Amino acid sequence: MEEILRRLVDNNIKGDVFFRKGFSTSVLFDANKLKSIDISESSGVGLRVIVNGKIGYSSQYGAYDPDWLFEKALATTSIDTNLKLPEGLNRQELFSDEGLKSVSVDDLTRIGKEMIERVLNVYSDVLCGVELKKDVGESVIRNTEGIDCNRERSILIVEMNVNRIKGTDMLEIYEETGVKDLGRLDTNKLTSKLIDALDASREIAKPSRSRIPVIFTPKAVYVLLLPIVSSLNGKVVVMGASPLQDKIGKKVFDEKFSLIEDPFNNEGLASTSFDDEGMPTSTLLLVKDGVVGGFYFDLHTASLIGQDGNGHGFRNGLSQPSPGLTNLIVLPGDKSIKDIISSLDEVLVVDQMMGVGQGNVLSGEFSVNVHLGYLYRRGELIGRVKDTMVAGNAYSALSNILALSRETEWIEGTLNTPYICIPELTVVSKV
Amino acid sequence: MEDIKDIFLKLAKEKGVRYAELRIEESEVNSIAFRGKELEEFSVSSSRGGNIRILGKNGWGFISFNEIHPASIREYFEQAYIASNLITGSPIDIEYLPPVSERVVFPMKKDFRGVALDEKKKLLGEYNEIMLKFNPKIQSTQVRYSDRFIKRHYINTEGTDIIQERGDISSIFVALARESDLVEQYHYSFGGIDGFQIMEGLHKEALNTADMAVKLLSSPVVKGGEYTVVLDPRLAGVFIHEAFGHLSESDFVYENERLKELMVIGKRFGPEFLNVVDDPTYPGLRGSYKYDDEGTPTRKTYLIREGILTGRLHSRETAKKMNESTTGNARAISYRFQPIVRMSNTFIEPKDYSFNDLISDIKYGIYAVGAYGGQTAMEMFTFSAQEGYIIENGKIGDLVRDVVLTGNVFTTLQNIEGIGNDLRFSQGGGCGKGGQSPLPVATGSPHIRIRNVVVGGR
Repeated sequence: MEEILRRLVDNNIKGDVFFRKGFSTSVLFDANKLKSIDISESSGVGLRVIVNGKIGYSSQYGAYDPDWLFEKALATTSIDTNLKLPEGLNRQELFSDEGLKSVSVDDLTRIGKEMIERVLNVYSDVLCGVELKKDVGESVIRNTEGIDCNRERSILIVEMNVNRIKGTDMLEIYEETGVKDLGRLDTNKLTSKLIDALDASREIAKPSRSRIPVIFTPKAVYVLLLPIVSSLNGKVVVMGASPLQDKIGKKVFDEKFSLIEDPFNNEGLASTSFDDEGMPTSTLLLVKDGVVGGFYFDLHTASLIGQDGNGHGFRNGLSQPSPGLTNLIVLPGDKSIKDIISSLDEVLVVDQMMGVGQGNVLSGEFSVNVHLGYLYRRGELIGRVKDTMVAGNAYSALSNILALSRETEWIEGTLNTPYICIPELTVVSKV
Repeated sequence: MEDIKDIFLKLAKEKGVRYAELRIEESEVNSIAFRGKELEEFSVSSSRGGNIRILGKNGWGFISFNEIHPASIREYFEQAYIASNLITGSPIDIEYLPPVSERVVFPMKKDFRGVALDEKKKLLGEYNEIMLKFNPKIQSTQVRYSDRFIKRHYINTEGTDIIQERGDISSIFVALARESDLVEQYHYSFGGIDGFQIMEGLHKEALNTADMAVKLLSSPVVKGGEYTVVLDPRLAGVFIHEAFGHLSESDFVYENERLKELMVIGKRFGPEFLNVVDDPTYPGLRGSYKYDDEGTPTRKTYLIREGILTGRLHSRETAKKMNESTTGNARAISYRFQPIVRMSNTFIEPKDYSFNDLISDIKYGIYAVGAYGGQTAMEMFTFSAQEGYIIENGKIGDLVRDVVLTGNVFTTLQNIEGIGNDLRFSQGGGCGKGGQSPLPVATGSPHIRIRNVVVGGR
């Protein structure tokens, strides 16, 4: 890295160098049995140059060759930009719990086996799959203006799915959890959720009407958030394609709805005080009490519409920075989920869906298959709902929210959200 | 490379492993993308990495890496070996194959490595301009292109040594049209392995993409319900890949006794005029290859023949476990991943009907065209059409949007009423499974007609 940076300075070229290194170990169980142990070591470098107001970019995984990187980066300098590289920030961040870092393959295997046993003790006729993955990653961003930041982050992700087939009826349920402190890992909670879901799936039920209230569990809420998050992406705004383009400061959503991008959350797995361009991150009130707050940008995208970046330039692997988010928080309501369900004559609780993100996401239109859902009448569980689609528009759904639960959950360690109840959506069931 | 190969084979022999493989992969990718009037991406990346996979008594030890030199290979072998022995449970075995030594180069008519970066950029810029200037309602556009040249070197303890070199292009045009708060989009997605000429002369396709985005603005959302549906070849190809193809992947089936009962060879799955094939040997498609990532030679597999389930897709491990033959369908998107059972070129074989025959006696139905994507979860599937048309009294009528089809694969296949004579392949995008996406595949079909399909809408 030092050599590449020195070469930039020697040739009087502005630019930045991003270095990424990762080490991960995963243990995979399939059909109740330990199947495979995967180890991965990776490293690579991305080089961005700015020559005469134009960006060029090259990257290389594996042993890197500064000559090649320079040649390719200079050969691609074509993207017009006004971006100004940040100066002088020097930070070292360590999100690395020693307990988590020292977890061994044996430990992971033991945890996985215990999880499967707990489920099989209650339901002996299901097949379980578990993946436990420990990931230790390091990234470094340096530029010609003095930025020198690095981050080490260790996380443990546990995913489990159970499968039950009866005749032509197939039931598939999954849960996941991610932690950065080993002390917070609660696999009992995860297996209890799976067992509860199996309990609740004994009977098959059908909604009595085609328009009924629908509750999205934390696992399912993303279908409503995806259009909002996409429309607030600086790139979409620059394209002029965002339905929220000219809605800053306007009330578009229900006043119960607030959506916050929080890079400083203690529990969120993606917390960081600087982004992948070396800019300090910032908390963003994307939506506050139904009012649209603002967009998120990397430096280049922001410069295209004459704005300053807000510390949200993130990279996917070794790609160029683009607008990205860390931890998303939906603020909770004040009723318990039990009370919300009990207050309704009939409600469909959607927990897993298929088809999220298909179709025209920006328009907010969605039409998803209920992969796992339950029907309740006046608080009483009637059964599992299948072969059913739920359709609506995310903007209109979030502009008329019946209730948000006071309970919240972390999804993939980067989204914290309550249950969201929409008073009425279209539900189509196979007759 | 030779010294690394020798070290690998020597270590495998010393440790007495039953089976081990080493893959070394080199690739270079050029990416170009326009978004609106801005050039968004113009970059070059390269990668050199590898992996070692060792079959232990009860499972696999796998390690992937970027450091490729004699000392590191020794260390990686050791780590993978230890991992392979840590696996407890029940013993596994694989199908063993005779050794092969071959270098396979997939030829390109116009090698994209010989086309200057700036020339590629200029051509894509033309397509982007066409869409941008089409109509004031066109709010924005995207033209994305990437070409990738990959050289994969595969070595195993059976004595096999295969080098495969292949180019792959993947591209998409997207037009976004806007009228007040309503934003609609249309895309044209394609790809190919036979060279840069597939990128040339697409001005008409660019124009049509923009035209459709504008037309969708004024079309109504389809009314949800059950319909007789005619699928165009693109959507029918996605349907057969998503709804049925994934269930033919034996790693879903082989440890699942109940699913085995459902997917019994010889069971009727559809009408007798239904044939479904997976064929990596079909020439010149994105899912075409000679050896899979376990060094297994490929072959054409009938999944459904005359409506009867006749075959499924295998890796060495699933073939052994189910006592069936290998098919050459173990694929990995890169050296970072273990090969898993995947499709290649999957299609419904053509029959006799013309498009007109298929729609002429439909009183009220939907003609669903193009695919946004699809997803399955066991027997359930959903897939989204890019555009839909009402079929009324045998005639194609008004354009409708947000057509999403869903159902149960077992009933839907039985409900196929007619298959057209116009097989076409789609090669855009790619397939995702087990965190490995996008894998180059082709899907194909003629027009097909299905009764009682649930269409989501409002």
